[in-house]
Amino acid sequence: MPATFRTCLPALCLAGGLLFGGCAETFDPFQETDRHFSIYGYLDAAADTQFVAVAALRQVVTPDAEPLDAAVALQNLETGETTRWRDSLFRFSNGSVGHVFWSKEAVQPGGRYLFTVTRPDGASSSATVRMPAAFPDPDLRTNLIPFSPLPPPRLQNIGLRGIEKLVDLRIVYTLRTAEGGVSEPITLSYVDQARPGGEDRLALVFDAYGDLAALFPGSCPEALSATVIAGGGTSDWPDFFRLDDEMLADPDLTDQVQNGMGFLGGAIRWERPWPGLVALLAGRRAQCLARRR
Amino acid sequence: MAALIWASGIGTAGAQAQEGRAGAAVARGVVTDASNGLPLPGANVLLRDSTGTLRGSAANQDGFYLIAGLAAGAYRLQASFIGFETQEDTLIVEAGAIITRHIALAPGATALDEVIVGAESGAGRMRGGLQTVRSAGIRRIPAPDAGGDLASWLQSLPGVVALGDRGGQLFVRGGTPAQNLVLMDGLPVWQPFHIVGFFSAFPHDLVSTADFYAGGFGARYNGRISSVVDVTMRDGNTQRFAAAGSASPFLASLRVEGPLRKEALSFLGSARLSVIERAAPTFLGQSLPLRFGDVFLKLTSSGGAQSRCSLSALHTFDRGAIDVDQANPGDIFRWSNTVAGGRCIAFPANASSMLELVGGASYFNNVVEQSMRPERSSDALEINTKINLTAPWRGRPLRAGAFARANWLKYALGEQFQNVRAGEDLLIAVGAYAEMETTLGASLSVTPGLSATLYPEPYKPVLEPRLRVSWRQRAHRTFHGALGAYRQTVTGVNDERDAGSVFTAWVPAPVQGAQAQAVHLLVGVEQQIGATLRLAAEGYYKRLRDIPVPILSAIARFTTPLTLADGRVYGADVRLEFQRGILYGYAGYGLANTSYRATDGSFGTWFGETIARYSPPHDRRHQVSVVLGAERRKFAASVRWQFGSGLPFTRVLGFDDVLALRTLVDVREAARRPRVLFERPWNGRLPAYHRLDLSLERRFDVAGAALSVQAGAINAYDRTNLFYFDVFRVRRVDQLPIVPFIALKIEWP
Repeated sequence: MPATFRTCLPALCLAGGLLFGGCAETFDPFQETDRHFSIYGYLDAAADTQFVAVAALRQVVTPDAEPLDAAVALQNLETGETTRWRDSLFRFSNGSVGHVFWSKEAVQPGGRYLFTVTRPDGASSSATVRMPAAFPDPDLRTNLIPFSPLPPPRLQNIGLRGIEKLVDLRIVYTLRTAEGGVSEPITLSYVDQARPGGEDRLALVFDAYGDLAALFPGSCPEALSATVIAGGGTSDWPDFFRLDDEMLADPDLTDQVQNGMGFLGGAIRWERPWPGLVALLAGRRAQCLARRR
Repeated sequence: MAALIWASGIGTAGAQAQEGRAGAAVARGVVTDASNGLPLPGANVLLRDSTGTLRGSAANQDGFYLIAGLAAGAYRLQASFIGFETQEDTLIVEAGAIITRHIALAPGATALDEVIVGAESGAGRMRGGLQTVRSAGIRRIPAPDAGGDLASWLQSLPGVVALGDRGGQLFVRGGTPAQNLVLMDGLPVWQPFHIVGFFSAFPHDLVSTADFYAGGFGARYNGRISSVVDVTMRDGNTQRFAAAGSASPFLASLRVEGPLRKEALSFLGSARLSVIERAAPTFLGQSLPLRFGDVFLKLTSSGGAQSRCSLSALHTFDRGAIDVDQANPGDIFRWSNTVAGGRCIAFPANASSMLELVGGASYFNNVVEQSMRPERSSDALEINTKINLTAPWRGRPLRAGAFARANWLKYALGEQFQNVRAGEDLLIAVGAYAEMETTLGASLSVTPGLSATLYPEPYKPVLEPRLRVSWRQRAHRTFHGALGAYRQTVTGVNDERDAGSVFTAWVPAPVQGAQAQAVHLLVGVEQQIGATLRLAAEGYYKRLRDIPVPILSAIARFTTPLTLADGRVYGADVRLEFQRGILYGYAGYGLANTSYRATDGSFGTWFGETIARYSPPHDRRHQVSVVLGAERRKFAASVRWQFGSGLPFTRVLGFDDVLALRTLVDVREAARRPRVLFERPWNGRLPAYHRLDLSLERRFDVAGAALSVQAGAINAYDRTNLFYFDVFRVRRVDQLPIVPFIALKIEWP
């Protein structure tokens, strides 16, 4: 090995380091975007308080627990009246945190609203919300004939009228547990099972006890309470109930939020206990127990 | 099988009949190294008649030469090879005779003042996509293991892209790793490249010769559409026992060889095991939980004058995570290859042909697991037999053959690819090929070929025409070209969306049974410039069809359907090689452009817009490689610098949280799922990559053994080269920092 080369080797390394090592390029994996916030929720004309989840598009996976540096407002596009919303930070059971903005301002059926989230530098995301028209109370039928010697009917009906788009239809039960206590609420959703039943009408025909018993094969569950929840939305609501988690996360799902992500809909949420259904389910349970004996 | 042998017998007899009609004689034989009995691929054999006319042949990977179309008379036979004494003799040829003349060359200096025929290796040689390398050529590229490795050599070539220094994934001229055919002694090896990218199952001291086709390969290769690496492992020493051992921060190895029956039966065995997992904290200052190793054994029977047979067996294993984040380990990848088989070449006494029979089995297992639980797995077994015949036909070598292979493929992919989940397939294919080199005039050589393969339903039979052309325009300038059609039925599927994933599942044509297709067109020139410089340049164009790729979207999602892409690849490689005295140098530049287009109009959507075209993540546009070496007495020094322009990656718009509004849920109680939003796929470019590797070696003679001490550094100026960015962990994964190393190797005798 020539001595000159050996002498030069460290110098070559040094020169290489100065030439190349010192010019390490910066790397920014993030692309600037005009999408600033994601907005999820709905305005409910039947509620006395409105809640909407807002998150800033951020550069880390986990949201931080700091207050969101943004102003949130709702403008009634009919009257021009604007209300400022307040921020609350929630920590959920899975450990995640999230911002929910709320307002006591009532929203009107059939109205139009502009929901805006604005950063201090002026960048904003917004959603225009069209509220559905009010609809009459749903018609709940157990088809149970009082004092009849016949066995309780298998099928029940829910009739809905005047709903532009059904976005929620479910029954929430509480059951008696094996220890004699009250179970956590159990929800059965029927939003995808309601069928057109004439002009402006939707009808659901369902086997309440059969659906419930299917959750507990080999036993005869005892219902303690039943509550019906129905939701009417507008035609721009996507069919969220048909989508799995990945499809729900698809940003192509809706472009309803300007300069942002998510969906803010208009809805009217209707909720009532259904004691008649609890009575019917008791009869069906008795049948179930008799069969088992 | 019997049918194949019968068919080849017909071929032999037919060829013989043709020779007989012509009345021309044939000279053939094997050229070996007299010191150890090993074949000398690339050796030149020339016959000069009384008028001074030359006919010649370059020995193939088995050292076999064949000179056909000889008229009766006296010839001066000259056999030469770099590093060996030239041997001369007189050959008396009778009309129609088949002369078998084996030649053993003694090591020594060779004066290169004579005409050199045919194949010679070196970076400045590129003939229609083909580059041949031998052990010494592989050793010129520094690898941190007291020797060279085929993986490091391949990565020094323009047109060969590695995404990083881990994973063992090589992309050749726009093709994907699963589109490369790697053969060891004629047997396929599914994934021979180790998880640490400097190493493969082919260290320089086990390789006799390797033919690397970056494209345009001839009809005898089929089943893959991108490239071919055809490695001939060397035989064991037939004269005496020898052993070698080496240790470096990456690997420890042991090699033994010798005659089991002198000059008749030899063995060569090698075992290598990685030590980087233990050495990394010392040498790198960081942990590198990567394990790999391989075991190789070859038995060669070379005693008979009419035949030569070998049995080869190889087992490799790899295990590790590409992202070595100790605190939050990601996917662990495991793969192994087991290959065993035999190969015989025979020179029938009464025929002028050479017959080659290859048979064996290649098994591959690939698993990705998290917390030691297999999540996805793929098993692939190929049982393969083929018969190849080389025979003169009207004075020109005709190569023909037949093959049969059975592929058993089993895969369980979970839900990653929605149209390929789990299954088991058996695919049997039979086929044949033929190619013949013909010369038009004194300087134009044309080799047309055709390969035909039959697959069971529903796959279509495949006809693959090939053409290779060579035109020696002047003594020192040769133009080459190649054109061919290629199809691949057994397809390797991987998730190109994830640079940190090296899991490949082998499945039969996964989307609608469509076989991947390619057309290659290559045109190039080789030019000798003076006595010391050689220039090679080659332009290429590839059309790809029906390549399975994942559907893309603006969100990160593990599951996705596969769809079909058409592709276009074009580019050029330019290489300049310098050799003078003790100095060797090589500079290469590669320009490439790879793009995929959706066959059905869309790869997916991005915020409502269709994604119709993109550059895949291995689309490296510019690549430069420079190697400088010097060898004098007991010292050898080597410097290698490589540069690659940034690879495509998908930028991130940001993270937010998704709420499931399947019902009118109370948003105060609804849990959210974090979501990452991507920009249009592969629209960004990673920073450029460059690295300097240095090595200095000193050899000592110690009590009859040769001791080599090698010191050097990988990434000598400690460039922070980005491998990929893990968006979920918001964490950059870099390639290796500076790795200083000392390697020892001792060889007896």
